[in-house]
Amino acid sequence: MLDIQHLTKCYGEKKAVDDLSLHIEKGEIYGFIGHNGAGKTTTLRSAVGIQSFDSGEIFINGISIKTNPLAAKTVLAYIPDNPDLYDFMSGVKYLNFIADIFGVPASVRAERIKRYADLFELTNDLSQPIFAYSHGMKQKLAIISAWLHAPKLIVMDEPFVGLDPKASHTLKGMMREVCDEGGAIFFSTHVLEVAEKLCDKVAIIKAGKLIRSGTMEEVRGDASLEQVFLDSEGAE
Amino acid sequence: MIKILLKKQFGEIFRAYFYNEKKKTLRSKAATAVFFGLFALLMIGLLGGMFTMFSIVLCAPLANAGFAWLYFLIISAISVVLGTFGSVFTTYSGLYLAKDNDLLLSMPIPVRAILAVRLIGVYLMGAMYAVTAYLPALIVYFVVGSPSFASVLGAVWLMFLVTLFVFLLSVALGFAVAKISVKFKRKSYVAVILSLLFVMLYYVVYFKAQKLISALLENVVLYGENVKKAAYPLYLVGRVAEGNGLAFLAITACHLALLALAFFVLSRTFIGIATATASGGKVRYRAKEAHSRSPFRALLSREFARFSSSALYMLNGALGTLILPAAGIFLIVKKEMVFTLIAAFFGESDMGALIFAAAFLFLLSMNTVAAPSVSLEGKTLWQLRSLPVGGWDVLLAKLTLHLLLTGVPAVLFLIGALVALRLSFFGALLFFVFIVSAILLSALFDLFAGLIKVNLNWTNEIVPIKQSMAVALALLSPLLYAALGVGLYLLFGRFVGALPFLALFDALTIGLALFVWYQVRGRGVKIFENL
Repeated sequence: MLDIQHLTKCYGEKKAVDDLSLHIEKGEIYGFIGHNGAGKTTTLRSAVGIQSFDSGEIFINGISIKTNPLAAKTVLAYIPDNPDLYDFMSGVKYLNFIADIFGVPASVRAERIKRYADLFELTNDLSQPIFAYSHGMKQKLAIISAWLHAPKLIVMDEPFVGLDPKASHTLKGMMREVCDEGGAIFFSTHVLEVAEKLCDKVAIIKAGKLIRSGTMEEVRGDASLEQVFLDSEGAE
Repeated sequence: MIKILLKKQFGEIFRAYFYNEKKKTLRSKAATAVFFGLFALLMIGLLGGMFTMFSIVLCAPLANAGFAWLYFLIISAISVVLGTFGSVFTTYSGLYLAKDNDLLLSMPIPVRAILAVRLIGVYLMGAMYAVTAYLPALIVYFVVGSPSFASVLGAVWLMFLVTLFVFLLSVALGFAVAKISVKFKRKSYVAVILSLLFVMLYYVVYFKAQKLISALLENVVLYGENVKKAAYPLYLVGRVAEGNGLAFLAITACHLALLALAFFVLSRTFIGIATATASGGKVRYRAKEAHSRSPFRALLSREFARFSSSALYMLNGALGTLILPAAGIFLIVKKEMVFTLIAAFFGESDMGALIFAAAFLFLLSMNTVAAPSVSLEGKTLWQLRSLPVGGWDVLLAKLTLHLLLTGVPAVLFLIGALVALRLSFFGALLFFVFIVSAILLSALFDLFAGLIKVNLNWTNEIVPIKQSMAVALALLSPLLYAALGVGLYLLFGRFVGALPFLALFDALTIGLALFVWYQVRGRGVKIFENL
């Protein structure tokens, strides 16, 4: 579903991502772990076509994000770590805008908006302008918009930040549902317990380089994910 | 603390003067000085020149008749109107709508320091315009009048008081807009309506000023005595410039008292207004059947929503949308007068087509919607970049908004011009082609300027909408194009006649529009997709 091949991205002299390769299959929830500034966000943003990269290739469902970005973007959704949404729209107008861009039929979108907004208890607030939303409400709206066109791949940067425990639980269920239906999830997180319980596979990035990846068992062995992560960081 | 905040605020406003966005490097001191020099030249050259001429007409008769105070009163009034006009559109957003309000309020910074910095910004904006009118008048008085040492000091001090009064008026208006708009759901429309009322007042005064000044010059003594009797405080204002000690103390004390009152009221209400998010009560969502739209219509609708959400954007970007039809109606109502004037001055109505073409370019400079539209994406740009829409689709939506906001109102102007000018079919056709091609060229140029001078890092939308190089280019380009047209006509056009020249100018405009079209589609799209 997502194939990252030898991705390299530099900011001036600094290599933010250095020859990174990852392969995410259908049905997988793939966690991406690393300390602040390790290159997680750069990798995610490159994967969804928001920013260009210096070398390598990225394929979404077999389509190159570099040479055919529009086709690739039709099957994916992205949620950044700090969703700056259109403050000048109401929640429902924003969702309709996203649905229009992805060509979601009116009847289907109505059903999905109702379903997901109910799940996140956001229905009553959908007519409110987004500027009146809290951070958590914006995060919920971004999640609903990502799920609205039933993408095959969902890429998320720290999706649990700002969510209340109930919404986090709901999101985990939705992530699993996507994968059960043949989709895939690729997300970054600092919450290692979540990664450990939720992910089928995990990758650890340090200073732009992939240092470990594979199934949870392959990566952690007999230790905890936290121990593996701390060891990889050179901590005591 | 105030120094730190000021540095941050002015660093943002004048970012383009210090920082080269393209090369991602700081500009040299010489380059920065050149930029500031050009800015000063623009302000002094364009506006200052106009007021110098005006002051020359007014100063000698009044000063020689012993009515220097009346001269300064008139100049002060003009400066106040111009200064308030210059800052009226930005005061509300400048004071209350900065995106870093929450951040600054969360830090150990006294509210009065944040407020003071915002107020300094408002003061400087108003002062810049007020001084542009007052300073030439002051210099003219020094040259033409015979000022004493006290009146030199007094006249300079009055300039400071005028800037202070402009500031107080702007702040009062910004505060009124803020207090009213927090109660309304559509804040932007409230701000637009209030500001437009002020603009209407400005134009009423402007159009009446000519008659008033003529009458004043003929009856200086009578008017002077009337002002002194009926409005003694105004007389005192003028007397400050003559170096009168009592007037100096009284007027200065009044200003300081008003300033203290303004600061007291604002500091008590600032947090409440600046952090107000709810508007008009909570609206409960009711599911309605949504209609699917094409991606392009969705993008265009998004542009409309962005435009109508901001009073600042509407007022600064689309004043022409109101002025164009107003001009059209004026031409229809006054068609006989216009036709007679054109015939009297030029002997033929075809020349009127050229005059109106130049006037249309002047009106076009009031619509700069496309210029800040890319920068306004700011931190929300990630959304467009992650969606399956091409760069050109987004730019086309921005372009279409500009074309609609200019093209539709221009129809009334076109009708008015054709009714007033009574052109032949060929002349009308050429004029129509010019209107259409000029709108297209202007929209494309504004969009392209917005792309090459893009700035996504701002904390107050005043920066992209009012203080950006892209908008300055968008404002000036139609005026420069009109100047080019006049120059070409005087050099060559008058030998071929008005309509053949208009045909050639049409061809030039279409050619330029096509050139900029290809630039936007090629280079412009690349710039957008690499932001």
